[in-house]
Amino acid sequence: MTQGKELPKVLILDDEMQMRFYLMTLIKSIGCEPILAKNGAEGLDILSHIKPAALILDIMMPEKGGGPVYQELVTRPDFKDIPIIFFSGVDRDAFFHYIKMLNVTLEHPVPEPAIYVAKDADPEYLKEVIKTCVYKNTP
Amino acid sequence: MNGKTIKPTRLLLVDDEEGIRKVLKITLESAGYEVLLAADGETGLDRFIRENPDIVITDIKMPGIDGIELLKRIKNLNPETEVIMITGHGDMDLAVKSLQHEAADFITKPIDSSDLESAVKKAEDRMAIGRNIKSYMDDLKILVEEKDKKLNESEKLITIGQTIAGMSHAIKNIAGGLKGSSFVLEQGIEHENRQYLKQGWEMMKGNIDKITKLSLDLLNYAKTTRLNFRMENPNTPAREIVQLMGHKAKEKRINFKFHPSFEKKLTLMDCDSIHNCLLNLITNAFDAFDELPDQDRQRQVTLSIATQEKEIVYRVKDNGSGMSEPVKTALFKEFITTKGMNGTGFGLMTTKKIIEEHHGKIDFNTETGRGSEFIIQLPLKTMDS
Repeated sequence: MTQGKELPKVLILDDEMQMRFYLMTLIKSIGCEPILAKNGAEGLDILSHIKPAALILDIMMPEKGGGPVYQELVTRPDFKDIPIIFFSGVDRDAFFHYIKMLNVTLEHPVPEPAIYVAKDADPEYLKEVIKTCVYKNTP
Repeated sequence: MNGKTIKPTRLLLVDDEEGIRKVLKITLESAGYEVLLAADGETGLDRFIRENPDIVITDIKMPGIDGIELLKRIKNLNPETEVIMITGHGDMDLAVKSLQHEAADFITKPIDSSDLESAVKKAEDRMAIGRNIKSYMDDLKILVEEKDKKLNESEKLITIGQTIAGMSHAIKNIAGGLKGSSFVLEQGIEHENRQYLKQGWEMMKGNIDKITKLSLDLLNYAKTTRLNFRMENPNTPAREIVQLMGHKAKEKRINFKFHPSFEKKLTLMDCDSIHNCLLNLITNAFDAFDELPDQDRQRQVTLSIATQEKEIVYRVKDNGSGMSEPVKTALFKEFITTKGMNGTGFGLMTTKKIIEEHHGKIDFNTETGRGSEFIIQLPLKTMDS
């Protein structure tokens, strides 16, 4: 990996190798440093020693999916200010419904995701979303 | 049935005394009824069979077939016919007996014409109620049938809805993949980066494969609604697979074994769709080694077929990576894929549907890290059963 000098880091959490490559290319193209993880556990592990400017999170992943990862992140104060960009093929309404249903079972309900980008969104749009998150966090 | 109100109610009057027959005929006709007459039980039964009157009025005491016997036979022929009995003074026992045989009413001699008319009227009312109940029941039956049909249709719609939901996820992923690959390719062209070009190209090819597979899966799923059942040897749907997958097994260094059934019994099945089920399960079994390190274990996949007394059992067993808890619980219930870009989530759904159409069962055992086994049980439907 190219060791980052001053570049803002973006953590990519996606189980599909090709998707990770695409997001990596996209993040490099906006002048950020991509960090890759292929599942929830790996992502959380990275987060324990690196603080990225933004996190791109897939939902449907084997083992620990995006839902449980999100649930864990929002309850921890040290991760609170990392913007989370959901990037998934799961229907937006279906996922928001899932969060609502999940909240019924939780003692501390999780907030609705702030940013949700469909997997078939235009790369240019995704770029804008990531840029907004990153530059809000690294002025 | 007779017309409801336009046609007069037809009565059959059976009495061996001519005088009574005459008087009652006049009384009843003037009350607006059509009256048929018979002088004894035999003639009465005969007229009943030929002319099918609505109500029968019969004397209890007659030579030959008496009133009780006539009542029994008429009720036997048409339980809905109302039968009114005429009894003599001291015939209380007979009157009670006739009621036990479901006579509508009885009147005693000497006959009071208003008693007679009210008995006939009551019988008519009862018949009308019976008819109403019958028509309510018929309406109810139609209503229930309609609701049933609607329920089936809505069930079908739910399934279609689920299919589309599963599909849109798969399609979104492909669309996302294609957009991603074109982005990577553009970056590659712009920066003359060979690695980007190579990766972008691989990604595009993968997505083309995926959309091809999805359309095939959809076709297979659609096919499950019109299966073609024939008498087949249970081994037949597996034979081709053994040849087909032998090559892939070598490529993936899997020891693929096939144990056919030795019974010669034929059973009713759609060979092509069962072939698809087995192919799906075996492809899944082969993919169960993808995440494992190369030299981890001697890779085994076994397809075995057993003909039992009442069923055929297909087993597909692998010693691959097994399934995790969440995958296990979601299996068969929704479109899930553990294969990332390589799966559409349609395979097992289609397999389950086909097995259900065969009135069979599909089940599985799995142990994380040790492997999985899928079991299909089809009811044995032989020629002699």
